[in-house]
Amino acid sequence: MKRKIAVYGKGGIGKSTVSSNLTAALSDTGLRVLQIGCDPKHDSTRALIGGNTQSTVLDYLKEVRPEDRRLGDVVTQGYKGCLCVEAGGPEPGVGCAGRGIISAFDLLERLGSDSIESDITIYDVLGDVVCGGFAVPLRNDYADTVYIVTSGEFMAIYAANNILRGTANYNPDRIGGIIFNSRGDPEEESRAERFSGAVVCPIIARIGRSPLFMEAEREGQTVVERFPDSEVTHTFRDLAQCVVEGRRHTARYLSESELERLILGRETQTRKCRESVPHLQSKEKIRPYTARNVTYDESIHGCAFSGASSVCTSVEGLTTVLHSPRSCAHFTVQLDSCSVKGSCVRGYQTHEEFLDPDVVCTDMTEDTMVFGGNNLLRNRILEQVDAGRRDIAVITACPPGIIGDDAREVARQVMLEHPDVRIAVMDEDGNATGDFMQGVMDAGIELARTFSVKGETIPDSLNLVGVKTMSSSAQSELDQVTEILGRIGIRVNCVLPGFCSMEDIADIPNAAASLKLNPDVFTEKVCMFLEDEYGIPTIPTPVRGGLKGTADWIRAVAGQFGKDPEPVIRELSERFDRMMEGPRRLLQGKRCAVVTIGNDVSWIKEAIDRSGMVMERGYVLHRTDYNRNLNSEWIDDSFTVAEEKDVGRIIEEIDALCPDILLVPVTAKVNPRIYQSRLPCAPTTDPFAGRLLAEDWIRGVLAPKEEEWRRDVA
Amino acid sequence: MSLENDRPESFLGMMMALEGIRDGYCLVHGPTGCKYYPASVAESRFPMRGEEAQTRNFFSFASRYFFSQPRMPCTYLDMGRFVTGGGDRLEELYSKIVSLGPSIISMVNSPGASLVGEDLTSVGGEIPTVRIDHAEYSGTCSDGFQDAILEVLKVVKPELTERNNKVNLVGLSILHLNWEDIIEDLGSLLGACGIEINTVIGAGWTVEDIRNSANAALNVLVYPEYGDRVAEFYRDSYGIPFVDAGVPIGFSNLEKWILQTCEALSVSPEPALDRIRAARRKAAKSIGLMESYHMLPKGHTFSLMCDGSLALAATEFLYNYLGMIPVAVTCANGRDWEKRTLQFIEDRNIPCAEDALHTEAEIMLTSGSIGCSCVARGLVKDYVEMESPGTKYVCTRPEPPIGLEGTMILIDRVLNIVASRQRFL
Repeated sequence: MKRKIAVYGKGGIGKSTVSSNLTAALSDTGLRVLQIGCDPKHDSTRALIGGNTQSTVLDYLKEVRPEDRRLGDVVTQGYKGCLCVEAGGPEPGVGCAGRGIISAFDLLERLGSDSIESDITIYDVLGDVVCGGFAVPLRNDYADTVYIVTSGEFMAIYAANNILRGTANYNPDRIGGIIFNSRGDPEEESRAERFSGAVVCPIIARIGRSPLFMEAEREGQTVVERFPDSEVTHTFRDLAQCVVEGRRHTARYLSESELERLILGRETQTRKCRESVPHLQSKEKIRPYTARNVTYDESIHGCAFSGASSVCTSVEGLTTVLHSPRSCAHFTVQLDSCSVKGSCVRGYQTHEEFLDPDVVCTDMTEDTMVFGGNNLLRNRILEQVDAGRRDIAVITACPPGIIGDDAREVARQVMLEHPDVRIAVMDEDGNATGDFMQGVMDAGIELARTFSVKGETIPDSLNLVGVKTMSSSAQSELDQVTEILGRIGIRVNCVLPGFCSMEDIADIPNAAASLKLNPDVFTEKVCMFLEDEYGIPTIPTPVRGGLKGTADWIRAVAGQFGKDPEPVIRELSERFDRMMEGPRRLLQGKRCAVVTIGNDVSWIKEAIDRSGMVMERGYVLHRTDYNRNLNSEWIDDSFTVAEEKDVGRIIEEIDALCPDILLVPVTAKVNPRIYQSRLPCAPTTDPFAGRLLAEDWIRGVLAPKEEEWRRDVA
Repeated sequence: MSLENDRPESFLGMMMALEGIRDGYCLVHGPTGCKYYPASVAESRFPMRGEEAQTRNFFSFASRYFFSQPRMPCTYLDMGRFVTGGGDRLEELYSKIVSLGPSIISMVNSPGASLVGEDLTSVGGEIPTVRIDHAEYSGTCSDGFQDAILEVLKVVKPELTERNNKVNLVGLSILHLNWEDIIEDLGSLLGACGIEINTVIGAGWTVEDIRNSANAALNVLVYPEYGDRVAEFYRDSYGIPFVDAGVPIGFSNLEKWILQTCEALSVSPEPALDRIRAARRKAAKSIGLMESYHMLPKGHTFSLMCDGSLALAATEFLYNYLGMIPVAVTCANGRDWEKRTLQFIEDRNIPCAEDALHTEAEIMLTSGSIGCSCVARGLVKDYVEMESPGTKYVCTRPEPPIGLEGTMILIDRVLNIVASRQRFL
């Protein structure tokens, strides 16, 4: 016989008393019993080891190096040779007790707990099945039978019902029965019986109230040991016999209303709270700066942790502390920097901060997950302070959020101790606040709030809002916009979020206006923040690519500042005309088709028209997760808006048409004789972007229709 | 300043071990933030699993679970799902993947999913399924890799049907730079001695290969810290001995690697040694040419930020063969090997720092990512790309970082860096 059982029940209901007496009764029969207490207060086995406390598995995990760990160090021998283990847990209010159980079980397994020669293992589990951690003993590899301890009080039965529900989620045919532990209320036994009948699960033991429990506990013993001939002990011997027989039942549970009706004898009352309470007003005007996925409840792309990191690591003079396991830091730093590093190697311009990011990670470990990571974070921040850093950003990943670390409080304490240190905290908790763009937005806002200083408004200056730090063309496009602004007499105050220095951030509130670098939601929201917080007006027309788009935004900016835009627009237009003369000679009359996901196609159409090509088909794919708000003004009538599900049909249609050129953001499976010209997925701000496209089309027209290598593929 | 986070760690190592199975799929039970980067790594490191390359394309992989990437679909958990559990999505995704017909499915909990105790046993059973509830947090890449391989071996048990005279290569992952070229290079040297490769454990193998892996006569370690525990497992479970001769880079180390392997199988190493001797002669001629230009690498400094076993082998080679001076060593994986490297240097009375990221050197042996940053920082003059991530998208000719060709490439790179940086007064 090799049995594993779990004893569950509401906190304080007497699980440990039942478990340890059961262990004692089973040990009396000569069985080898292992009892594992799964409660952070680690007193499950105390009565079996003379009232002493033993060191817990989690303390051991924290204190002993992996290579020095031995199974025998966490197992104590108790009454009649029974073996006792306490999982332990974090201090109240920190860390994650559920995670503690997972970690403790994992360590026991790694230390070889399977090799312990026991006939019965008893898991004494804290309270209700409140989270996955406390459900570990329910899983297949652990307990084969689950016993539920309850009194006749409503909340105890409520917890028992929850345990049945939790068991039903795993392997439902594992309920051993109900152990009724009386609290002395005369009515309670009948309530417990009604519940037992309703869930079709028998009461297999009835333990009455007895002063013997207290007396035995005072002497650090179980009742079974201290009073072997008592009635209580006989009850436990019967229970032991029942456990040995191991009858099992299928878990059934009641709905909340069924339970209330059964136990309390009344229907559930749900009061609808519709009346407002006028005297409860928010102190601040709340305008949610939320990214699109949060606003529309879309599936989350990437995480806010990573987005915030992409902003902070691009700021010159800022130290970023990532409060996370190393994996999160590795993923996010690589994601931020890899494409940019690649661009650098390939000779493009890039933002230098990404090549040498000032970023450290707290390297959260198993211990931190269980015991809390506030100290770890504090120490890592202080290391940076000691190294002379004064401006610090802290960003939190999922684990600190789940275990409840308080990064803001840690930062506050450090700033109290070091008044010259400024810390911006982005408690993103991984993707708890939203997706990548939410993190970008949060970082922009938090950096401005923490590090900016309101002064005099700087005339003829603006903030450029909405830079996409991970785009390899971001820097060159910024340079282009800055140059055009300079020509109409406007200087850039700060680029945000990211791609700037701490000095630039300090000046954010002092710009005379905000100019959006794209029409994206996150850009809108950051501008909204700048309006709300510092009263900086937003120029309504965003920067766009192509000649028409460029003329639009230049006029809008010039209008805001009372400047004359026309000479610059005229000069750009003449330049573009000259640029397109060559392509027109080569491309006149060529046939093309377009499939794009961008919501601004005017610059593409402009390039097609100026090059003299004929667009035979034009589609804008409406991807709800990318271009939810298609701007109809920017979509030419010659384009059709298509749904994502139609992609296959559209590609087949274009394949049949066999145009000279297909403009497409990713490779489509079409006839190789069609030249596929790649469109950018992100909007461009280049006034001459069309010229770049045309250059590519020329190459496509000049190249042989089909390359020789294709014949070798088969 | 730190580039520590440029180094792959245990979670990525674990996932790449699972993605190293050619006919398998690895599912991430977690947020998309835990999927995008590893999925792009898996895609770039191992795109040719079947007839056609699979690359990111929203025309082909637009569904919620794949998010445009061909590898590592995920259940896109958010904080709400961390509270309520994501078992339903896992079940749906699992069924979807089963319909794609893999021979094995691996499921990995993200750190968050692991923290809240998401139960991976709630789905599966139709085909072999590896379930990894949680990784070693903030552990080393090599440990994560080996942990996952051992989990795979619990699910798909190798079967000793008939002992052959072949070898398994152990301790090589798809994360290793140009791993397929390494197999080709080492396979060619072994092949010259009549030794065939049975399977490469962890890199590009199939479920059938896993089952067949117990039939090999010998396991040979390539990067020992990525395979020592796995080799011990095969020895203890199937009686397969193993050879741990360090990383085969540098002529002497390569000869040692061949000699020990051949000795264990009682075959003559001469054909492979002949090739190495020929390469030695060719290299010596080139170095002699550089001497005539007064551009020898002797006395030039180098630093290493790479796996420990690679650091030791490369240091021995650059010091003994080319006369170069090691000035700094940092190894995230293979700490014991790092100690041995430092001991090797100390024994020669060379002062050496343990922080390659803050020590100036002329040449650094490292990944493309770190090398690029260190050059930009002005810390080193140039770097030799020995590890992933590299800076190339594709190689049309073999460029193994180790082995015989890898040794020649290393010499070539070092000589050219020295020559291009030569100052003429």
